[in-house]
Amino acid sequence: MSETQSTQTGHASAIRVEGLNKWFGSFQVLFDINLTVENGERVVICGPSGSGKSTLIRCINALEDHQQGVIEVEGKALGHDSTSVYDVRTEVGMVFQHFNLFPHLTILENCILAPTVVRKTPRKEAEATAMHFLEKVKIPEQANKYPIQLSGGQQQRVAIARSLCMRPRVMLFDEPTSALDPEMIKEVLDTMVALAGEGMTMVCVTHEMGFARKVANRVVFMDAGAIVEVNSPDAFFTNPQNERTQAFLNQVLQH
Amino acid sequence: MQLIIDSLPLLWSGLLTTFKLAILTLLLTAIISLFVGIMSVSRYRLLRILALIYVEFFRDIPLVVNLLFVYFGAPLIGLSLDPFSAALVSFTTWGSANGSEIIRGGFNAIPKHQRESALALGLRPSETLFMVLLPQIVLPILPPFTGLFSLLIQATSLASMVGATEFLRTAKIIVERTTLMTGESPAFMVFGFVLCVYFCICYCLNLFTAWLERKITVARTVHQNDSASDDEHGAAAPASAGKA
Ligand SMILES: Nc1ncnc2c1ncn2[C@@H]1O[C@H](COP(=O)(O)OP(=O)(O)OP(=O)(O)O)[C@@H](O)[C@H]1O
Ligand SMILES: [Mg+2]
Repeated sequence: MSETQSTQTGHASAIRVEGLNKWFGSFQVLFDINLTVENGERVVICGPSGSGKSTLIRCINALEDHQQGVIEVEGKALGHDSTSVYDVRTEVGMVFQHFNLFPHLTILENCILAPTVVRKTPRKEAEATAMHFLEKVKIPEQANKYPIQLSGGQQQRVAIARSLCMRPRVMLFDEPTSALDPEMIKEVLDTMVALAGEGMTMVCVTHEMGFARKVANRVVFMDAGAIVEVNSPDAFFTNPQNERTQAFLNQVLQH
Repeated sequence: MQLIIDSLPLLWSGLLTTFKLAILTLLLTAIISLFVGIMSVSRYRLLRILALIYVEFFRDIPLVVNLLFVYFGAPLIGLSLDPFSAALVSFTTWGSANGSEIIRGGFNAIPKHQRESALALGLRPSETLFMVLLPQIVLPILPPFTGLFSLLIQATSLASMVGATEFLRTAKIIVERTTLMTGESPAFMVFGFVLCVYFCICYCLNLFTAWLERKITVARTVHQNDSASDDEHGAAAPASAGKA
């Protein structure tokens, strides 16, 4: 993965969000968001419930449209036309809170669907890639099972592998561990740490502060639809600048 | 009994018409249901509204009224439909109005995250529809569709009302003719026979879809290369781990 990252558009930032405003009807969810993520950088986004974290990362791959501002992924601007949307989506992988594996397909079929359909990769090659990533997430032996037969942690690791099969330049995570039983959180976090170790650009919404400390280059704190504080993990945890950040940290760290 | 055996050729030709009507009705119903069902969950408002009008219009009139209306109303707009075609048109419109609702329900029951994760993987909306969403509704819509199909097969007997010589009508003709000739009505026996035949057809349909349902369920849960016993073990493991 790290090889593919430095080609062609190596000069552009992985993600550039500028002056982003978004409304749901007349309700404004995002207020003047500015965020740049460089290639290979890992950014953790946290903040109280309803602060717009999901909405922000969903805007980045156009699962939500935005009304104002610029969103660029690897130098490609996200417009309102479908071509730019598809262009950006093939560069960006996304992992959701509820794994969302396709229940009618086996694990392997889940992994090769998008590469064969979208990238027109020959089936054999797609299967080889899929097995490669299933090994990375440590469940190659489950390849021929159906999602329902796997535990939540295993399903989430498959979801990560499935995204990686498209060879994205950026991975977005929306609370990937918050629907998991405690004993399964670690296996998923380990997978994500390994991915970070390989230089993948990652934007991760999570309340796993241990993970943030370990892999994040920057922590972004959002509240009420705005970015309140951006800081290095160390500074963020030991010396939060904003009082809302302090209040939030007190709450999260107490639990 | 002898009467039924003697009348078999006539009954058989009626039954063939019934089969033809039923098969065409089910086929067209399935196709139009799918079409209208997809329209009703479309992103485009206009398509959704058209689907809604279609569904509400045909669902809210009794099938018999629909049939009479098509048969006697068609000439008014310069169309002359024979009984068979009139029956086909009215059964199909009624069937697909109900069928498309089943399909819409099937789509709506899929968690919206399924569509989103397919789109996030880069699939186009049409690819998402045909490769991710549609395969997921097959199993849940099978039982309600079996019910609808059963109902439609039974409804083909209504075609006799506008004069299509299908199974029920040939039976009626036989009863009337025999009564006229012998003075004795064989109605009980002939209609009893008719009842048994309809029962058998619908029962076979139910058996078939129940078998199909089981087959799909098994295909989607059993470990593909391993034996079933190995699979039970694998499926049970996460559950017991959760309880421990
Ligand atoms: N489709 C929608 N239509 C209308 N309002 C929405 C929609 N999705 C989200 N919202 C609102 O936008 C705000 C931000 O939601 P969002 O899901 O982005 O928050 P979040 O930070 O991800 O919260 P959580 O931690 O609970 O996931 C919330 O007030 C929410 O109610
Ligand atoms: Mg969220």
